[in-house]
Amino acid sequence: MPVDCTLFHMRKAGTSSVIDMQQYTEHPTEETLERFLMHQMQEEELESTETHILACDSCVTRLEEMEIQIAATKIALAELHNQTVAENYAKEKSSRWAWFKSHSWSLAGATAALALAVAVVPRFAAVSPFETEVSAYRGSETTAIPAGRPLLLHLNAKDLPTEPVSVEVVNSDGNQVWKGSGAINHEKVDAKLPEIKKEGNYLLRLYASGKNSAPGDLLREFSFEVK
Amino acid sequence: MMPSQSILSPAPSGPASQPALSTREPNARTTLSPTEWGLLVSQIKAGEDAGMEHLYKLFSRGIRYYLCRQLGPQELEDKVHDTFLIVVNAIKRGDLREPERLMGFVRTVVRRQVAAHIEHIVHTRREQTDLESGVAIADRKQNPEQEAIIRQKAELMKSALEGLSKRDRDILVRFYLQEQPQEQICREMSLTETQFRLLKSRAKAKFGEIGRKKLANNGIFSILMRSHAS
Repeated sequence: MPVDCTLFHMRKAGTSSVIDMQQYTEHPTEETLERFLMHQMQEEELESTETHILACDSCVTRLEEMEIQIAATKIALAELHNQTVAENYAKEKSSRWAWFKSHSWSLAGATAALALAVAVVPRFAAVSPFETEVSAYRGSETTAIPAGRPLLLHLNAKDLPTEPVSVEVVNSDGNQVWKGSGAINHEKVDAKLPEIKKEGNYLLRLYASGKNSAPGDLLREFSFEVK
Repeated sequence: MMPSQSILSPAPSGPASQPALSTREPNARTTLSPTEWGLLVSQIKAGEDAGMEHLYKLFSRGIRYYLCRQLGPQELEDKVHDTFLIVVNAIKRGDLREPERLMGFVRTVVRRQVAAHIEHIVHTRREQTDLESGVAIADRKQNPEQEAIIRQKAELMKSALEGLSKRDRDILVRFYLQEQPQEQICREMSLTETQFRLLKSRAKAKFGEIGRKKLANNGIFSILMRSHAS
């Protein structure tokens, strides 16, 4: 008896059964399988697709290939997104200093610029991002972070698979302070956070990317203190 | 909460730079005729080994895939085995009245298994506390080969994605990264369903094209290397 790919003939059953069974026996399209993988199916479609997949080796193979493809697409998109954000940030940063590079200043101009710089530079220095590695888990040591500065945190994601993640920061009351997305790359996640003005203890949580922007499984939890 | 998808299976066949999602087309239909379903069920009812073996061949891969996707790879073999026992016992008891509905019956059993497992985990989490503080987290990492394949594919895709317009890339970010439903994307970006499909298929074709180019380059490179060596 053949195990797979036998033509389906419903001679004895009624018409409605033929329609019912046909939806289980016909291979789903690529679009349908993609919707299945992306958790975007209505119950009726899910039923027929799942029922088919359970008994179809070739569709399981297609799904496995598509899973890899989708995982790679997510990583590529996340990395490009991060790259764009970093480039925009660098452009913004360099444009702030462009005026300072003129070679033809007169002495008076230079003095005036110097005086201006003395007044202005500390203000710019204050907004440069504070960059640090974060690897502390809740309950162990806490990373200290200065208040009122944008943050670039390199989160330890050792032993986690390369995949897109969502990042959430909550305060000591458990209220969400910030949420963003990123990707695990070379066992690290680079999280660019806005400045946190209020001092206190915070938790930073890494979630696997879930369905429809909802967080997936909790992967890691870090604690830090804003001083 | 259902765990998100995991990639469990053995490493997929073919190189990483294979054309993207446009995977091979299977035969038009699959599975058995009603007579064959009937024969299979009667063999299992009679306790014949051939029937059991056939049932296992038919469903083991699909069940394994489904359970792993829903619950992760932990104790997977045990769960697959439990599912088969339930299905076989139910058939032997005569619970399956329409043999041609075996596929749907198996799905119901597997879904109940998943629900029971999740309920058990929730109950355990509520009733028991580990001596060690902190949350026990299952290892979600894929095997090194799959990691490498995904990494390699992601690099190829990056070069393809860089060639897309900002708007096109935005659509892909919304669909794949933010996992927004197609309807929402079409509504918010004033796209028709056809335009949306077209864009995705164009992007996939581009991945495939770049993959093929890379393969061709690698091929030429290896030929050159071989001829140089000889």
